[in-house]
Amino acid sequence: MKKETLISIIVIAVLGMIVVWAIGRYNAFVTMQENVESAWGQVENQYQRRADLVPNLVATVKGYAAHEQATLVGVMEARAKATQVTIDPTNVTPEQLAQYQAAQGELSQALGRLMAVAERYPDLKASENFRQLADQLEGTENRITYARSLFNDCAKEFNAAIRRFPGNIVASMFGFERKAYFEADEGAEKAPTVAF
Amino acid sequence: MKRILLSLFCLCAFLFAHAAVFTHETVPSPKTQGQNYYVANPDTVLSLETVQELNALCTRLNANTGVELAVVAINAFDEDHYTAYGFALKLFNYWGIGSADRNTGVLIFLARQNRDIQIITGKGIEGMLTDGKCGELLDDNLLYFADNDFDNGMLALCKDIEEFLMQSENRSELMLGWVPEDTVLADTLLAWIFIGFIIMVLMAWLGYKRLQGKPGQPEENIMKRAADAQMGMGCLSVFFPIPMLFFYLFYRFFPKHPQTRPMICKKCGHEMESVPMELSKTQLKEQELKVFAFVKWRCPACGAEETVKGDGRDKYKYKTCAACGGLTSLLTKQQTISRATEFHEGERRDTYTCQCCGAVKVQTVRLPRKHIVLGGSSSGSGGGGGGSWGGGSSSGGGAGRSF
Repeated sequence: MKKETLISIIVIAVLGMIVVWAIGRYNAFVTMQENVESAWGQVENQYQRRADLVPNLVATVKGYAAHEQATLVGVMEARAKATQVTIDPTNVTPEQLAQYQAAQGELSQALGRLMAVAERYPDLKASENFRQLADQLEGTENRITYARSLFNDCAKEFNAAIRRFPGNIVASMFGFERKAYFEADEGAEKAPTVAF
Repeated sequence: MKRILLSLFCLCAFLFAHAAVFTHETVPSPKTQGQNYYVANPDTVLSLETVQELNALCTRLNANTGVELAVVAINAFDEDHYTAYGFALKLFNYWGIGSADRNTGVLIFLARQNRDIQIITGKGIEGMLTDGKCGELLDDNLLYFADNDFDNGMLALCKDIEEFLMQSENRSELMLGWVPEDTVLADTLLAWIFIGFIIMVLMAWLGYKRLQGKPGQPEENIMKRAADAQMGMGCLSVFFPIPMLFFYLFYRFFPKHPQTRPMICKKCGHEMESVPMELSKTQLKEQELKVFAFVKWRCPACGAEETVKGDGRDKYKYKTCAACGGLTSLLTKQQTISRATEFHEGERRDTYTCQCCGAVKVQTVRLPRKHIVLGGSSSGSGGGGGGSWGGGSSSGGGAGRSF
C-alpha cells in the first residue's frame, strides 16, 4: 500500500471516530436537555396546583373570617400575578427564572399571611374543610420543593456536561446553553404550615 | 489476653448499638425476609404481634388492590440532615415502593424520639389518598401516638387506610387496568400449554422421521436414539400429560420398524421381498423380546439374498448372557446393600436373569459419594428468600403530624 493511501485511510478513520463521538455527545446533550425541560414542566405543574388551591382556600376562610378583607384580597392578587408570569421552557434564562420565582414567592408570602390570620379563628381551624385544604397546601408546597430539587439536579447534570472539555466544543457548535437554577427563596425556607 | 479481647468486644458492641441512627439508605428493608413482609421495625418500636398483624394486613391489601403499603418505625433520625418529610420521601424513592407502572405505593413513617409521623403517597395514588385525606387519617389516630401507644395507633391507622382503599369506588379505580397475579398466571399457563402442544407435535414428527432412518441399514444408534427420544417424551409427559397420551397410543399401535420397509437389491436394483428364515433358539428369543429383528430378503429378479439383523425397540434393556451368548439378560432385581453418604460410598447388588437360558448373574455396583451441600435453602412464609418492592416513585405527596 502506498504511503499516501495509508495516511489518508488513517486520517479518515480518525475523523470518523471523532464524528461518531460527537454524535454520541450531541445525543446525550439532547437527552439531558429534555430531562431538564420535563423537570421544569413538573415544577410548573406543582406551582399551578398550588394556584388552583387558592380560590377554594380563600372561600373557606371568608366563611369564617369575613373581616380579613385585606389579607384575602392580597392573596387573590398575588395568585393572579403568579399565574401571569409564564416561561418558555426551552429558553429559561436566569432573569426569567428569577422573575418567575419572585412572583411565586410573593404568593407564598401572601399565603403565609393568610395562614397566620387563620390561626386567630379557632372555628376556622377546627373546620374539616379548612384542615383538608391546609394539608393540601402543605403537601403542594412539599411537592414544589421536591420538584425544584429534581429540576436543579437535572440542570446541574446538563450544565456540567456542556461545560466539560471536550464536550463543550460540541455544545457550543450546536448552541446548547446553560440552564438556570432555582435559588433558595429569601426568608421563606419553611412552607406555610398550620400548627394545630 | 482473653479478658482484654472480651471487654474490647463488649465495648465495640455497645458503641455499635448506640450508633444506630438510621439514614434513609440504612433502614433495613423488610423485603429481605420475603415478599409478604412490609414492616421495617429495626428498633422494636412496635411489638412483634403488631408487626405480624401489619404484615398480614399489607399482604391482604396488596392482593386486593395492588397497593404496596410500607410501614417503617424507627427510634430517631438525624435532625441536622433530614426533616421527617424529607427522610420519608427519600426512603420511599430509595426503596421504590409501589409497582413501577401504577405507582400506588404508600409509606407510613414513624420516628419515636423525633415524635413525627408521616405518610408519603405514590404518584398513582395521590389523587385518591390526597394530602388532605392523609392528614385526616393522621388526625383521627393522633391521640394513640401522643399517648405513646404506637402499636394500637399504627394498627388503627393502617386499618383506616385499608378500609378507605377498599371502599368500592376506590377499589375499582385501583383495580382499573390492574390484573391480579393469579389470572395472569392462568393466562400464561394456558398460553404455555398451547405452545407446548405445538412443540410436541413438531418433536413427535421429528422423532418419527428419525426412527425411520435409511431403508434396510441397521443403525446401531438408531434404537438408542429412539430410546433417548422416548425418555425425552417421558419428561414431556410430566408437563403435558394429555397430548402425550395421544402420541403414546399412536406409537404403541402403529410402530414402524425399519425392517418392514422393502429393500432394494444391490445387484440389479429390483425391489426385494422378505422370505422366512431359520433362527437359532437365542435368535428366536431375541426376536421375541424385541432385541433384534431378523429379516431375510430375496430378490425375485436375480436371486440375490441378504440377511438383515435390525435393532429392536428394547435392545438397550438387555445385556449379553455369558452362558448362551444371546443378548437376553435382563436386570431383574436391584438391592441397595449400603447407601451412599457424603462420607463413604455405597454398594448395590444387581441381579441379571437371562430370559433365554435362565442363567443368573449377580453384579456388585459401587454407588458414588454424595456431594456436601453448603448452607441451607432459604425458606420463608410467602415468597421464599427475599422479595422486592415494585419500583414505584413519589412526587412528594402525603401529610405529616408531630405528636
